[in-house]
Amino acid sequence: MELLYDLKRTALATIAKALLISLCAITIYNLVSFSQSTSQAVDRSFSSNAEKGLYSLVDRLIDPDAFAEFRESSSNVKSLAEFYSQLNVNDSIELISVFDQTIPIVDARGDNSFDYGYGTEMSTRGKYLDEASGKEVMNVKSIQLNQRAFDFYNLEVSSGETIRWNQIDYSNPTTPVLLGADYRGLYAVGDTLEGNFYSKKTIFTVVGFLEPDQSIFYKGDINFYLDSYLVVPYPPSIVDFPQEETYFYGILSFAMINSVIAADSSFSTDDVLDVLLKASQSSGFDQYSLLNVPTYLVQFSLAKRLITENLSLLIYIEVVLVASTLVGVVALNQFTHHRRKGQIRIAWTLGQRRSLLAGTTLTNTAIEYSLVALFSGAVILSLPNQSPESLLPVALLLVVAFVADAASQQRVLTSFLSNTSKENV
Amino acid sequence: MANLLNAQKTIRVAILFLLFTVLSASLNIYSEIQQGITLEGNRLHSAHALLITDSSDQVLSSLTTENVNARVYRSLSPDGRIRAILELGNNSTFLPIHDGRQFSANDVQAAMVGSDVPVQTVEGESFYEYQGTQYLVVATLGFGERSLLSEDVLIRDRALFSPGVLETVVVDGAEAESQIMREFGEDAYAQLASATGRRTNIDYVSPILLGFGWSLVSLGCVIAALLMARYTRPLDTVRHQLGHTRWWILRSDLFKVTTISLVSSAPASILVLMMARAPETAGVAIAAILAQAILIVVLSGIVISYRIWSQR
Repeated sequence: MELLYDLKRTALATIAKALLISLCAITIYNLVSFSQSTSQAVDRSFSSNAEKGLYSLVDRLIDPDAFAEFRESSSNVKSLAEFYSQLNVNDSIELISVFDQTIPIVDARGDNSFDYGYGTEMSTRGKYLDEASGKEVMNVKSIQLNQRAFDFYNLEVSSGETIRWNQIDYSNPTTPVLLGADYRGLYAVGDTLEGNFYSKKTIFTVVGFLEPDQSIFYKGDINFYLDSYLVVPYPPSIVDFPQEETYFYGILSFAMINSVIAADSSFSTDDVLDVLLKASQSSGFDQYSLLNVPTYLVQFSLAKRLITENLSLLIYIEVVLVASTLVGVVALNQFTHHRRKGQIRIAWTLGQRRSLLAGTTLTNTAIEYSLVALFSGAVILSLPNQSPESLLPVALLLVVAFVADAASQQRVLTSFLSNTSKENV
Repeated sequence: MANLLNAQKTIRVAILFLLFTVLSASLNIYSEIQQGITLEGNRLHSAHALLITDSSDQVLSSLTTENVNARVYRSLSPDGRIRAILELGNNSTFLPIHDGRQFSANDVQAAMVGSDVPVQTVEGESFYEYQGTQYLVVATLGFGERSLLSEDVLIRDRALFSPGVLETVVVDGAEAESQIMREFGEDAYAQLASATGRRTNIDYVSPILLGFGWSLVSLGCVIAALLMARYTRPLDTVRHQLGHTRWWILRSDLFKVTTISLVSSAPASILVLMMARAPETAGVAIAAILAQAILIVVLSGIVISYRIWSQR
């Protein structure tokens, strides 16, 4: 009864306090979830083992005639393939081979956002009739890469399985591929796609999907995302290619060798050139040159800085939010105490036991915090950024706040009661 | 004794005022820096950027007839580092710069350049040359010396958008985005995904934090007003009994509230001046602080008058 009377007098303040603490709890939840997502982002794309010097490896057959002539001889192509293989197994450097050759896919599912030209100045072509095959195709965005690239950029597969790199061989009847996260729902693991890969009819089997927001450093952009890409793995080696497919493997080997070399910062440019020279001497391919890619490290550190700057900004704002909440809670506590004072004094003077009064005060605090749990729980569960790991710290903080608040309210009661006793004497 | 008690209470309310004005100032600054960081990490595009290929006068006239706020970019170099920019309407977000000022309506031919872009200096003013035209550099792009925009150039010159020719432009702005989506076919535009911001959940977290931050500020204003009304009550009762008119009492209370709220707005305003990156944002933030002070005065006025007039 007493409790009900009390609630009526302080209902507004109780609700205000519960709202205030709930809002604060929600912002803390947000901050925790953000800091987790920041450290994930840093681990994924900005870890120290990705902080390497990058060099660009390019061929020197710029003249189209020389390029065509080189590719006509299968022994030339073989030397190039040998050059690639040697570099690919070298442990002192990482040969990161990535190329974004579009692949026309027969009866492609999905809208124009998967088209090679989407989001670029080329503009999209959409689905069209391929005259050679007589089938409807779309030039989809595709990225071809080797295992070193896949590992260097920490690419992760969310469903299905990852690529078994050692088994990749384009002379097999099908080639396993991964699809970017935007493809989920359009294809399923096990589906096959018919494509035209450098004029070679190829059947791709979907073995898995990439996690959302997977990115690589490509064409000078550290924010090159793969969500709408068809990811085709390169074989570990193409040295033993069939003679009759020299045309296909000629183009492929050039695509594979135009790559990026990652080396530790302790490794100088001369050291990298040394590795290349050895591979060149034993393979017989020497039409290459090496360029430094300074933009990678610059973009690496700047993008990382932007992410961490965001975090410190959020922490700053959270500190001000918490401080304001504390002041608001103290003000509201005083207000409620003021409201209850008279009632408590009468009960005390009438001889009510101290433990009973303390119990009522504790119940009030418990009611306030039950409301907090209710409000904040309802909102947090409906937020878009669900992260169960962030719930625990917030719940713990609320428990601590409850204990501290209850203790302080008990202290206020005790000191009020002893003052009242003194007055009565 | 009564005076001392009064002073104590006044200080208490003032501290509360101060905290909540600092909070709202911080929210304003936060939102500015946050937007700047997003723009810097995303080649100056917000989450509402569309790439559209059409004749640019068609796009521009569609946007201007609806009077929407937008920025329009057209790439002038193969790598997209040099861009022409047009600003339509009033853009509430500012471009991230660390030296100089935003474009103004009077800039017919002007440029912003990253810190690594070569410029010519003539009599203390920097100029960027593009196709034989000298553009006055009004600001350095990016929040710091080293930024993801250090090689970027923005040229503000309407003549760089050639009428009648099919060209690819980026239209950036929330209203503009929906306007373009309505008026042009689905095949005409492409949505540009966010870049650095996409790595974390900042795009979700930031609006939530701002929303709750502002609710906290509003709640704080109400609490401050209620406290003010409570603290003025004993004195008002005495004055009422001494025969002062209700209007006189209200006026005197309001004078007090106004003084407290203005005085406690000062530190928040200083904070804004110290931390805002662009003078334009500082203006907006200080205006918001003043608006909040006025809101508190009005709220306290309402609560106090209610109390005074219900008193017999």
